[in-house]
Amino acid sequence: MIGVIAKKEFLCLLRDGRFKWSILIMILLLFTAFLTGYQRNESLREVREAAQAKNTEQWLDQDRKNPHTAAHFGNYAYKPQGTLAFFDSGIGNYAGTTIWLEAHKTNFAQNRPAQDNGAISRFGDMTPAMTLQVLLPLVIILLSFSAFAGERDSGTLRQALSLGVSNRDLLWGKFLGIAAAVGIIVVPAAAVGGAILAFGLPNDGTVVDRRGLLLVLFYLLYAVSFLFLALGVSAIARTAKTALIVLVGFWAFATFIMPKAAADISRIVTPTPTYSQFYHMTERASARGLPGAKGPLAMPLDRQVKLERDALLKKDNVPTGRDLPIYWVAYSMQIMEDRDYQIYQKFLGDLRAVFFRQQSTQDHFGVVSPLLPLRSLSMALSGTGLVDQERFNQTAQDFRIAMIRKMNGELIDHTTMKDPLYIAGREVFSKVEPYKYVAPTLGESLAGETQNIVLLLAWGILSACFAVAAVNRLRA
Amino acid sequence: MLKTIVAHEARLLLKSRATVFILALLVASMMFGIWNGLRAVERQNASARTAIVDEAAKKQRVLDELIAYEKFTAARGIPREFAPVNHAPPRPGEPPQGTNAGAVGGEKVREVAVLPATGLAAFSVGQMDLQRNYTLVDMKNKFNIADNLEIENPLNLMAGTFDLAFVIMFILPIFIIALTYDMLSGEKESGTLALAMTQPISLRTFMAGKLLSRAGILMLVIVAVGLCALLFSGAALGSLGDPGTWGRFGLWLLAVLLYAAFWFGLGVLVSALNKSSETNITILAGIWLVMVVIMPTLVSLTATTVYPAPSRMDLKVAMRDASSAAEKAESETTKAYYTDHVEMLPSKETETYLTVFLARQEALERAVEPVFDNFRKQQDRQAGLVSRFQYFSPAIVMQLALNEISGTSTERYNAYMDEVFAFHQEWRKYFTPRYLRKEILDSSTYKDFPKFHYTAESPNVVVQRTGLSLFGLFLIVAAIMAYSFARLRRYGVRENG
Repeated sequence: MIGVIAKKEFLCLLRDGRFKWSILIMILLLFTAFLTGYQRNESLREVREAAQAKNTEQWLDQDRKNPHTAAHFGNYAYKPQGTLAFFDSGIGNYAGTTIWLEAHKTNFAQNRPAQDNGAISRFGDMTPAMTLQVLLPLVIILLSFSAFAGERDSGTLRQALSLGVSNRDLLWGKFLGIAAAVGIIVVPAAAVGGAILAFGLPNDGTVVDRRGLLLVLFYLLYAVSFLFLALGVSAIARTAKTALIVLVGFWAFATFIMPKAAADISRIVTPTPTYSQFYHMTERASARGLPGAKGPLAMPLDRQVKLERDALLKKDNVPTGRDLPIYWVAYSMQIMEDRDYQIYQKFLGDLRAVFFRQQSTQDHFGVVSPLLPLRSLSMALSGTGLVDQERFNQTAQDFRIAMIRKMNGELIDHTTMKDPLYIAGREVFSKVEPYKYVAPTLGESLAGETQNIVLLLAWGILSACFAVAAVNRLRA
Repeated sequence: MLKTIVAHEARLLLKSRATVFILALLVASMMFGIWNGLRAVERQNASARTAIVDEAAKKQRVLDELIAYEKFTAARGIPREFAPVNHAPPRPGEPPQGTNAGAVGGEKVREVAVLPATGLAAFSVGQMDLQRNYTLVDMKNKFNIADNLEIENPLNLMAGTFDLAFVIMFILPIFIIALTYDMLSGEKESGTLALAMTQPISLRTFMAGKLLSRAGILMLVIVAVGLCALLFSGAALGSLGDPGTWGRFGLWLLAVLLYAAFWFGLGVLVSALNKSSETNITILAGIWLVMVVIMPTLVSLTATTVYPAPSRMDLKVAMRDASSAAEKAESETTKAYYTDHVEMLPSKETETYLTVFLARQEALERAVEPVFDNFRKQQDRQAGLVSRFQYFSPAIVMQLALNEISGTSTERYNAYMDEVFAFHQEWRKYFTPRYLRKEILDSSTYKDFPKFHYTAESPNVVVQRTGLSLFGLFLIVAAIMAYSFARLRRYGVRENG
């Protein structure tokens, strides 16, 4: 029985001109999105890899000079794309892509790609993820809003029920029929995505197949939630028109209004500090001591330096700094670097906590919009979310302090106060390992996503329950 | 007759709970929007204020040190000296860095060049969330100066702000669709259309009455809430006294009313097609989707595919190449020492340190300028393409116009950056010769340092940038209305089209 109903539903949909057009447009959009996403991502990957390789070359090929001066020249870390960025570019356009790692200064990742594209890019990117997150639910709604309500309007529901079809069979038949129609859109696109996954990506050791599979699973759950929801509303609504208005209204609310409103609310709850506030606090802490810290970090800088100096003088039993066996200038610079590293780690950590708290606030709104948990999961799996950006930021800062320790260390080891001259070349610069970004593992990507998985599952289960309950009370 | 219909319709509309609900939602979302916009502007202003206070404090510290030195020398009747660049604090009696124009203009003192918000900035956040509204100017190269990152969660930037512009572009059309999709079909489906047509009025007058009543009520709400938004944000930002603010507000009203008229026009058009309410709402929702979501993303995709922005990574690579090349041209001896830590340099070398540094900055700028230019050129080409394609979607027209009117567009930011770059040259011209002449800076000259004055764009520029697009939109609206009302002649009151 279910099969018969499904077949009838499927055929009816295919023969309807409106649906034919929307399916065709969706397929075209999805293909465009996949292909341009792939092409764009590959060219970005090339630019990035070339730039990072060139950076290493520039670092090693710089003129022979004092290692500390070399640290001033420093290195650049360029942000790699997520492995599945062709599918979901995530925050990629809005996150900094280049960090200058230099002596004395802790810099932010600069240059968000969005600033080089016009305001029109703020409408959003035509990525496969956007198409599936925003447009697919609408197509599902269009295919299913009249499933019950339309038959009720035309009177055929009465006939169908008079034949003794069980409500459950009716629901599952319609579910399968519409799902098959949606499949016409999604399966070819999934095949393209799968082909890119299998053959189109460089083998960089990331496990993409499991990520791909999970993406399919979560998007399926999302689509099924909308399908059940639409069927349920269609069963309850008095007319097809009402069902359509309610569903389209919910769609606009869930996919357009909520994400923006949630972002603003998360900022009201947890404000983001500004650039000038950030440096105001860090520079103050660097000079006068970190409030709430213990030990040397809590002291003003000059006091810490003096204490360390006195300790050295005492240890070596010499009267003045000029008599020290080590090069005090380099040594004191490293004291400052280590101090600043800890201070900036504290403030950057606080900032990171703000970002993640904002994300969590936004995820909470997943209770009213299934898009929000799906969006987070999709970015996390595609390697284009906040976790990935913060991994980049943190590994770059770790690289920076290691580079500076090496360079200052060279200076400390090879010079004295009486003979501070030391010129190094490639043989010394090559002691700094080139910057390498290691993407989060699948476990790390999903570590903060439990809530989202639960929310998305809840949407699937509850919408199914809603549809079943609505159909059980079906009135002709 | 028209008057009677308008009055009847208005009365009916205001008695319908659905209409009141829609209007309440519109008012609420506009208020939420202006509040968010105002918070964004206040955040920018606060960021600039903190920077100004911090930089002023840094300048004061340099000045205090200098004044102390001047007093010290005057009391002892000894001549003042010029301090070579040195990062270690001066010993008592030694000249401080404040005497050295190169050290002062090069790193000790920075000018905070602020792009002031317009009176209408809270109406559309636009592109102003991506970069700071101020630039810190010193004698470093202009590419480093131009890295104006403002801290923000990329997740929030991606979602964008729920501002008034969003409400106008995205939500307002939905409400207009809800008000217009069944103007005739609803009457027909309930059987009252034929009844109404037995009265001595034409269908077109009837339609005009329905349209005017709906548009009138909605526009009244928009004007009223818009005015409140202006008073609210203008009072907070202190911009109500500026006639420019009111000029911009007039332009804003014009743009919003035109955009609303476009969607009302579509409502009439769909009604004239004589289909069922259900079909009407599907068609209108489809048009909304295409105009507001699909078209803009497709145009954006086209613009960035045809004229992709050059990579900032390539810019950085070029900068470092130029820096290395400039370095190779420098003398071997300087490199042996700290070029960035001059406190240990023999005094002969410290005198060349800053000269070398400044020369390197300028060499780098000359070498990288062509690469940097490409960003602006490509951006201009993208903008050209978008402005040609904007008529495919009034939402694009609207976004460009609202950003322009609010002063949050890329064009205004770029014009500001050009002013900053010009000021950067002025800053250098002030300090470099004084440094090269080894002039001993006097504390009395500190108030004469170059100051950045933003030259606001003239109102004409805003009108020029938006006028043509808005006129184009007006033509589109006129065409839709004319066609729809002509089509109504063929409307069968009793049969379906």
